[in-house]
Amino acid sequence: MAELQRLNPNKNIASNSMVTFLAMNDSCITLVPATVIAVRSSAGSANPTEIIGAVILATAIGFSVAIVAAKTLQRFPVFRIQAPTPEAQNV
Amino acid sequence: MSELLAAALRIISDWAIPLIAGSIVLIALLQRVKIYEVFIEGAKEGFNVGVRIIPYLVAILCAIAFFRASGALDLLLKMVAPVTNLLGMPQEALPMALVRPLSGSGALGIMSETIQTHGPDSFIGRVVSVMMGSTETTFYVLAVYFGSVGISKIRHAMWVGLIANAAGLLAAVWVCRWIFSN
Repeated sequence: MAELQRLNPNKNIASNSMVTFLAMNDSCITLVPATVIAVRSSAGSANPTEIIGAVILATAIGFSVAIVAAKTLQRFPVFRIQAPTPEAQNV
Repeated sequence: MSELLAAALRIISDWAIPLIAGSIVLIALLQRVKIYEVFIEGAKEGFNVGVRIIPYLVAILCAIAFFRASGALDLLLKMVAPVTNLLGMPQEALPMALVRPLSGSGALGIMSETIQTHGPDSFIGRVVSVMMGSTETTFYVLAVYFGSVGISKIRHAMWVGLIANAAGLLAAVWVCRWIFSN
């Protein structure tokens, strides 16, 4: 995020890349949901880790949807960047 | 075909933890990375980030606590129930689905409670487990990431996050239906 902010011309407005990056985090591919497994295990599950495969598949679906949503919404006029970029001011 | 894929997912579930833990150590050894030193270095960095984001977290966590305590959350639950029923989401998993984007600890509490009530190996127990694992706490992520670099105008980030959450939650229900149906 700090690296993306270095590239961002408007320091208080999120850039498209930042939102896409965040979208990827919102649905981050979880490999091992450790806390969930711990809770299941302490509740006496016969196979606490049986949900890992399902988690990976469900995250993958969420991940794809998130990226498509980020790319689509950034075109909407409501979400366009209002403030002029430094480049635009120089022209 | 779908039977095969479901079986593959079950095998992944069994082997994921030993494989990941083993490969981290193995790759580090192969690349001659000093695991312990590198880990400590990363943990130090994490601490600094933690301090910087405290004000953003306080604001968001307070707002969410108000939302829950005021009863607005319960009201929202009642309002959306007809829609989520149509989408195939079990009624028992609905509180989990609504709290998940707002509060990680809240969602963990609801998940534990649901698992205790219905049993960890029941359909509902599995669905809430997968929901917990396959989605993030959107508002927390927003506060932490944008807070860490000082962004205040977040544009479409919140909507994208909520769409990602909705997709992850519904995917959790559908994937569970499919894998654990027998």
